[in-house]
Amino acid sequence: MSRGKELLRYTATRLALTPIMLWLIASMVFLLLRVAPGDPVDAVLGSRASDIARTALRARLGLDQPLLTQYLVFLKKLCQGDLGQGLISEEPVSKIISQALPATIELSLSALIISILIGFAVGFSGIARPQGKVDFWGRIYGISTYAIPPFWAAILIQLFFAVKLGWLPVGGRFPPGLIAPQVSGYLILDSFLTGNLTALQGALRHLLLPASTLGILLSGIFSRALRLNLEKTLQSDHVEAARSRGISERQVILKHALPNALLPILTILGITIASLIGGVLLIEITFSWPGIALRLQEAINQRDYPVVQGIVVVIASLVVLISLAIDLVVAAIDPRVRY
Amino acid sequence: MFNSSGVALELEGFRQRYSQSPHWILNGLDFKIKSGECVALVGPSGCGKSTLAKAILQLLPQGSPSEGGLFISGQDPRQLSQAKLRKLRGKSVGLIFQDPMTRLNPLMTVGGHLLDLLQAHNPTTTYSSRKKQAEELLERVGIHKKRFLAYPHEFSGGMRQRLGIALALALNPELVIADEPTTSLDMDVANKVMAELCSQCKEIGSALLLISHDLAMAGKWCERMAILNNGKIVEEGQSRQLLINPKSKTGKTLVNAARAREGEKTPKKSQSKTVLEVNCLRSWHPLGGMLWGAPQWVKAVNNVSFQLREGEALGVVGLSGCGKSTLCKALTGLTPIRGGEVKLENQQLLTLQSKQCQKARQSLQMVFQDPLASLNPRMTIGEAISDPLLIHKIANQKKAHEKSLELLEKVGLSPASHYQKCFPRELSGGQLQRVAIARALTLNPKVLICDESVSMLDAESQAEILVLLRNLQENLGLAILFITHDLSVATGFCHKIIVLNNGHIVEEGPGIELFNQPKASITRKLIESCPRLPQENL
Repeated sequence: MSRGKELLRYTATRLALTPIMLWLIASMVFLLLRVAPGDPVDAVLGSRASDIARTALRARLGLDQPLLTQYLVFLKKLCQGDLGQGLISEEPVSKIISQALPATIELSLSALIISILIGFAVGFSGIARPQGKVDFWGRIYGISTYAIPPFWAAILIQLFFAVKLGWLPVGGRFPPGLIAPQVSGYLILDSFLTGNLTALQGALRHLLLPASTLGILLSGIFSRALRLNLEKTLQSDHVEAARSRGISERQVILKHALPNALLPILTILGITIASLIGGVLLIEITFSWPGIALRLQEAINQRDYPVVQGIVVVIASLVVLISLAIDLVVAAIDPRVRY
Repeated sequence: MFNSSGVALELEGFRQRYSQSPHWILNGLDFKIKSGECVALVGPSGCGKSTLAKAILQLLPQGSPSEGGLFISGQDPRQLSQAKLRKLRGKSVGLIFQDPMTRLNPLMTVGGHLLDLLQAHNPTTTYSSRKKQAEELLERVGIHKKRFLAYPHEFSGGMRQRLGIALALALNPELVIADEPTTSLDMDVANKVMAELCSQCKEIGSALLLISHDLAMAGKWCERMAILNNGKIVEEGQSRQLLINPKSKTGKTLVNAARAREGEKTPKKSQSKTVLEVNCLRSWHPLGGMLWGAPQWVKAVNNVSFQLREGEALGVVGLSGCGKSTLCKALTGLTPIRGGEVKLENQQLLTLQSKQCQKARQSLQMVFQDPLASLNPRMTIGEAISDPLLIHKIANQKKAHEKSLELLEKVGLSPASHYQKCFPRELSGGQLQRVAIARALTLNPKVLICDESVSMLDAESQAEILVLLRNLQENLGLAILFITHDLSVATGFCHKIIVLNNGHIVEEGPGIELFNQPKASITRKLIESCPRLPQENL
């Protein structure tokens, strides 16, 4: 079987397995929410509501049905693409997600770009003079970014740049006085599309602090990974062989060492993207960023079952698709990968 | 472009050491290779052969001090700027490495390697002309141009080394250095690779410096030979003369070791009880296929039967891919067995429950090809030897420690208390293989499987390890299954030999009989490709 066909078969198999994974995740979330202490009826009506009102709401939400019936109804709706309605806001969950998800994607993507830029710059400068001063401080920087708690770093950055210097806004996603452009939900992109420069400036100013904070915290992983992998690859036999053939040092690094060193970093990138959701939550809370992690936290506090279930299923789908994309990219770059 | 002096490489009192070490690895070398000449540089492991290859091309770590004269085509590479040195590498000197797999970029196609080299040295040429030249180079070393887009891992060891030759010879260098180019290849492939290398060098008029520990191979392909020991050339002369009548102490030791390794006579067969009986053994690898339809198999080992007696050495020889290593793995439980019978000390291994099987397998231990790779780099030698005892809960820490001391003495590593504390990287190849043997003996096995256990060692170490194995066999009554691609080594060491081809036994008998009257074509091929040291009367 040719490599192209092999890759296609692998992609099809992985895509066919995706619904099974999502079903398992959705079932687990459904069960965990029911097992966890607390009652959504209390969250909606408060603990002083009358029994009649409680019973009526319970019946309206279908919570009086046996657990299996509730589960089957949930699965049936999920298969139809219906994620249900929020208990508190009474809005469709899909609408809540479609409003919050672009904010998180915008923040995560910007943070990821910043982290890769900083991480690679620090990593490269370290490898240029191994064991030198830059390398030493680069390593200290890398270790510090793992060690610093994200919320603490976020508060410090907020205090310094927003409160003390007043350069950037403390929180939020868009200046309160302005009307946000409404096209795709991605404010930077929408501002470009509508040619609204004031909106673009406002959106960028709000994005800069949370995205840089998250980006800096993540950059240590990339700087360390690049430094270690590139150093190892530069000492490998095939790089020495390339040098012995008179290939220039620039080509040795760009053509022979870097592609091999980047392979494990791609896998790290996939894991980082998947773990961003957790990292984003603390940043979203600190900077009042109206993203999906913030909505998820609110929904968990309010025992808003449909919203929690919907957000988890959507996030899980994204993680599955991203990991598939990373696997395919690795397979496309590395001809040794077999499926 | 060849220089007018007619000297490709000249060393005058050349000394080289590593920056961290006060000792000179190369200590006053005087050596010359004329244009178009084929010279072999031989010597024991660690004598500085490979250091010389790297020193010539300035590939040693930065700051490694050197003294004396070093001239390549009249130029001293140490005096050249980075740009000129880069031109010298590839254009004046081509280097072929030992392990072609690790020396090729795994993410780059076969053609990509050649294009990369041609672009580096001729940046003004067009892509199409470079591609045409690269295809011609591939064809020149016997690789079809259709394989241009193949990746190194899709090539066999021999094909990869052919690519290594194409890369080294691409720019018609005046000097080609081949550093143990056939060590990782089987005899037949090695023979073909060397024939290709020598004919290509002759065709373009390049001088060849063949670095090797294999005296017979070096003697077969090079008219002149130099012996290096302790960083000095101790003897130099015509290969045949030097191999028949070595003058120096090192020369005598190396030639004697090589002759001992070749073994003139097949040892006498013992008449003792059978410890391992294999009947119609099948070990097949499944080929990837659809869920439906008949499964496809690679029949790596198919209907192989043999008996191994106490104190007997049975040689298993064959070309690469004939099923030798699968046979080892099947017997040690590392690969599934699809059918047949394996009786170890009258116990049917295949019908035993996992715990009983694990216990029974203690009687069957393995010594691997690469001793460094088979030892945990973070474990001391003492820990590595004690480990099997602790894993099987046979002894406590103290007893395991004592046992490791005893075994180290037994395999000739004395004082044992010193070696016990060493890490694998601190020992030589021969010493490491002794450690591997000691580790295999920890559980008092009845059968020892040696999978190419001497092929990575130099002639002297090979001969020492073979003597050690013979002594252990005589003292402990060990049965040895000796897997090798070298028929001459198997002939001298084993009581009986089986020749494998495509997973089948094609011929069996005492080694000397196979050598004198080979019946199977594969046996004849093995004999033809097996270089032997020249005899005085021939």
